[in-house]
Amino acid sequence: MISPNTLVILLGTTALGTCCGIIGALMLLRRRALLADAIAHSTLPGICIAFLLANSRSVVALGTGALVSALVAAALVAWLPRVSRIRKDAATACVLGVMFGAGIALVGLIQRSGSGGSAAGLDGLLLGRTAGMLRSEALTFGCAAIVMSLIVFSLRKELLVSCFDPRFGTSSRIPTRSIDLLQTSLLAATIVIALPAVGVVLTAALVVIPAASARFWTDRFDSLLRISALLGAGSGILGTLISTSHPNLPAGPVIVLSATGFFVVSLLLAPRRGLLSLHLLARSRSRKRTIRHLLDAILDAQLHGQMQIAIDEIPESAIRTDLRSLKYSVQSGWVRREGDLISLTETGRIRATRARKALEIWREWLTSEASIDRDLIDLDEIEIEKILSPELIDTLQRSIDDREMS
Amino acid sequence: MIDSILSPVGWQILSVAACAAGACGILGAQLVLRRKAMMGDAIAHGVLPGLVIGFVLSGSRDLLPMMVGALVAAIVVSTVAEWLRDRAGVDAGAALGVVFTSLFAFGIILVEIFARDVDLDPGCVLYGMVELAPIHQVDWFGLSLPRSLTPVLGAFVINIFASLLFWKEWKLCAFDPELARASRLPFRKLEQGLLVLVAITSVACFEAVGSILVIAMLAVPATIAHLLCNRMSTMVIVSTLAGILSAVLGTIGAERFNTGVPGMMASSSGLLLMGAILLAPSRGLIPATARRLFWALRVEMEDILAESYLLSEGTDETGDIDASESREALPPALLTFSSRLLRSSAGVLLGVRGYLRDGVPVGRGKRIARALLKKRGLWRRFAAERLGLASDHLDEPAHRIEHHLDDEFTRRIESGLDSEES
Repeated sequence: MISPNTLVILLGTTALGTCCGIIGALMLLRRRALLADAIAHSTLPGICIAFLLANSRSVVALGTGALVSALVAAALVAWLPRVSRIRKDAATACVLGVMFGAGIALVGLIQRSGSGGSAAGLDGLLLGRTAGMLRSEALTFGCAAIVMSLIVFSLRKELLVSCFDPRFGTSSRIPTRSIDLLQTSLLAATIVIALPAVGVVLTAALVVIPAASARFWTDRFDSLLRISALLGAGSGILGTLISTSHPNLPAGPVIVLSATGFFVVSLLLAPRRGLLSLHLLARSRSRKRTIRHLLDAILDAQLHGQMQIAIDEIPESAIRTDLRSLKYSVQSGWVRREGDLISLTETGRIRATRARKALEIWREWLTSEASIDRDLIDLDEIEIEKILSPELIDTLQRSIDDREMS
Repeated sequence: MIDSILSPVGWQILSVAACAAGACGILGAQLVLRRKAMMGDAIAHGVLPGLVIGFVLSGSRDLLPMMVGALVAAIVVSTVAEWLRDRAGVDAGAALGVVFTSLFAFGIILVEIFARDVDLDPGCVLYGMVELAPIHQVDWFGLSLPRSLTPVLGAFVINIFASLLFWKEWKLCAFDPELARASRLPFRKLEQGLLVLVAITSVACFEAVGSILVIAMLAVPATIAHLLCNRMSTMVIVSTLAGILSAVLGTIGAERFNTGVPGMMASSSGLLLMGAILLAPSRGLIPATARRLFWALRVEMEDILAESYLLSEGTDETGDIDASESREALPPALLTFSSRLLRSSAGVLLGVRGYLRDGVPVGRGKRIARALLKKRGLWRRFAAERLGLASDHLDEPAHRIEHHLDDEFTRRIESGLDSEES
């Protein structure tokens, strides 16, 4: 069903996606996502110079040229903001524009000096040709992925420190600068290896997108790396499968769009950070707030001597037109409903009283002890009775009482 | 391809390139001030699907439909990237990267599907065809001008007008976005409008000079100007001029090295940037280093003179400072190599100038030593009487001040201290 050729491509793109995912996660944490784009574009002059010097299209020569020029670009992007007032974004854009422009000028030079129509091969670098991936290339990607995972796994702690707290790293004798250099070199190497397969812009995409998607799913360093690698590999597999079944579709862009697909899914569905769960959270908050208002309104009536209250007397904000909060409260056994009249059950009364007491004490404490203006306090959003433990409430009560006594 | 820059053909190519570079330079200054330099790169890549869709829907290579498509795409890039950053908490750079690379990939797929058999290859978008500009001519009030001059000149003029029109607003948005938001300016619309102009400019320039050049020209001239200027007005002008200068250099370079104009323009702008980093009068690396070196030498020379004066005379004119206070030189082993080098070269310089003979200051050297010791005494009295600091509380940087007190200031300290005594 899957031809051997496809299998090779599949293996290659999977390994490539893994590489890019891992290094991309590291770059994302250092806020250097767009460095990948600059480095990818900046490989062009190195490739051209290597081609002119070696006068051949051997992978080793061109690869070395690309790597050198990628490292020069990375060094420039890091160096310019240190020695001048050029900011990081401008440095990235300038290095990208100038080096890519120089590369294009060199391509023109090679083409017009007519050293054997070989510039076509250089042109291919811009867009890549995944479908023509060789077995040896796929093998290279595989090895690169394994080496990269090993390096990152064995230097896990150092990388973690240099991403989050480089100063602490320096003070605890972790060679942050070397780690930094290592990360940049890994990025450059990944890009150089990936260029022939997916091209300049799409390499950058594979570095940026899986990492940005993985960030939705986790707050932890290890799992970020793991998820980002998985998503990279997943995009490689999905993209390759789609593009082999539709001969019109070039593999590189389809892989990138699969990564974008994963990004959109993460954006929508990820727990906690995803848009859907953010929406659900906001809804559940607002429902809890309505129910609290409802119970509080009934309690208010009871404190004024009414044991039962008619539904129309409850303020709109506490009950909403659709009566959903009332229904929910009845189901939960907090409210008893007899026709149009409602009253609190025993559990409902305890609940409402506790909430009200916590709220009052907290507000009192904020105004008296923390001297915050009463008008500025808006406690509606928080379920304060869940945050303040009964012991804490007692403590607050005591401190307020003490103050009033004195 | 270009016979000479002075030929009519050369002029026409140069005029197209210069207008494109100038148009980008004006807007680039705004982008660099807002830390949005990468926006040029993002828009230049992200408009590809818009271009292709405009091309496919209209079925022609007319500029207008492609321009509309590209504008829509550019607005999508900036809006979605901002939305991802603000609402979904994605890192700003990553948000931009996700959006424009995805759009670029989408664009390539569209090219492969719809525009395979026509000459809308990505290469043409990348490199542009400025060398072919003179082939298509249009009549303009009796003048025969290259056809591709119209869009770039148009973009140049629009950008100049927009900059003049929104000068104050853009300035506020660039330097104090919070105030701009608070003062009821349509902040979002102004920023969006700027990005729309960037999109218009990049599309207008694509045909003439290609997208690489747009990326380089939006970022590099503005960065050069940022290094050279401290005011937005001069920055915008310098940025435009730097763009035009790179166009001139690039066209000459393309002719000399027999290669494409856009690539050479980007390269020459890079050379100009390097020059600005090294040589900019106030911030360049070389002038700043030279200034530091000059001061270090001067301080070192004055110190040597003052110390040898104290050692030879025993005390200064007023008798406040005597030889026992001569700052003992650190044992040579503790000095760093550079400070030892500085000290010995200062000594050599003093000897050459004849300020110091056999370890004794003579002539002008004596006067310098006396002046410095006088300042040292005044500064010490000032610190003690006015600032309430004992002399042993003054540390090394405080001592250094004596080298930087000018005559006017010395007189003021002197008269101030004297008037207090009387």
